[in-house]
Amino acid sequence: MITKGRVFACHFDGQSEDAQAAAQIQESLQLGEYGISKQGLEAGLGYAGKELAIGGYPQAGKYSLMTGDVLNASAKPLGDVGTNLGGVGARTGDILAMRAAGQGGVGQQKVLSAVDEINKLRSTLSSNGLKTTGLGAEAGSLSNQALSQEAKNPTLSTALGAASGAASIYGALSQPSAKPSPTGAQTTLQSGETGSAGGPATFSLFGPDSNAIPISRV
Amino acid sequence: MILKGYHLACTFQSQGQAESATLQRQTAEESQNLFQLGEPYLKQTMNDFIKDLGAPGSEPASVKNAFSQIEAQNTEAFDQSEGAAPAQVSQLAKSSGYRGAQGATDQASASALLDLEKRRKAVESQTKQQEYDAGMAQRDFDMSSILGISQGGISTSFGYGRNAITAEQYNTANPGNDAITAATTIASIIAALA
Repeated sequence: MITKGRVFACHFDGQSEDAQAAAQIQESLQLGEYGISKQGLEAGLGYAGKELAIGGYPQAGKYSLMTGDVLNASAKPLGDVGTNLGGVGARTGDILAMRAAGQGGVGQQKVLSAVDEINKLRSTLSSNGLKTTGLGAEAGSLSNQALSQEAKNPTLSTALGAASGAASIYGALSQPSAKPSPTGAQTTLQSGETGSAGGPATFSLFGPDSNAIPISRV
Repeated sequence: MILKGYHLACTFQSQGQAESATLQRQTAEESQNLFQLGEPYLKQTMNDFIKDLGAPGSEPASVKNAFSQIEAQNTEAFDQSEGAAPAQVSQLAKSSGYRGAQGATDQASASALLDLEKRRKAVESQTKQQEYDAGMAQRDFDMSSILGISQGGISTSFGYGRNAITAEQYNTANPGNDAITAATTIASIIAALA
């Protein structure tokens, strides 16, 4: 014989306790993980946004150094300019042209690098921004899922269903013949038995046509 | 003999569901253990990446530190060469048997020092340029790591959320079901009180 209390504890409350504990653990892990990640996301996106605002990683110093290298490389003696210095013009022109080309090359690299840097930052911000909003949408879906676990607004049919189910059970239990005996309440499961006037109190939550096994009290 | 309470419970909450809930709790506890194991390192790494980035527009701290060491090593190496240059020129002049004009050795030394300084400047410039490139590469790496870890973490946190919701579905005390469940709950209470 199984008493009511024990059965409830084993199959009803125990399950709920486990489920609740599991849910609480998962919720706490969710919060922990989310906290760390949100901080990182804010830092990463904030940094990229500010970098973009200031025109990217500062590289002016690098190109200034490169220009200096070009000037140093072109700072050479004229070399052999011929016996009557006839080659002075040509050599000087060569050196100046080399210097100008070098400087122009560095300037070109600087501009292209800046474009590349801005593109990179924009791409980082847009792709990560998109991923972040995607995660936000996922959060919204989760929240809807969680809401479905909340108590629904009781519609009329729900309320009536609940009330009638409860009333039928209460009615069955409150019949004088169904009172528990002083030696202990005992209810027999009689599969297939149906209720009849004057017979044992019988009820079924699903009605007589369902597959549910009716419960009767002896 | 079985009481009505048992029957009501078993009609709507199977043994399998109860076992699933137990398993879910165990799995949740294992998740928690693993989270506790990984969380400190995750936090530490994330903080390190953020700290390394520093303020926008500034050089990542790790690169700054690395290149200050490289520059110090370069300076030391060139200083040693500078100190050794005159003696080395003098030694070469003696061993070669050169007997040129007075002061020729000194002039050669001075010329060697000038050339050395020119080379030092060139190395310094190249190192500095490499530092800029390394700084930008490190910035990209830090930023990519922070964003990657964060987005992965948020996905994981939503995974935990999904698990929590699934776990709640096994919570029979949860009222979010239909009329039958509601009726069962009320009936169970009444049955327990009867």
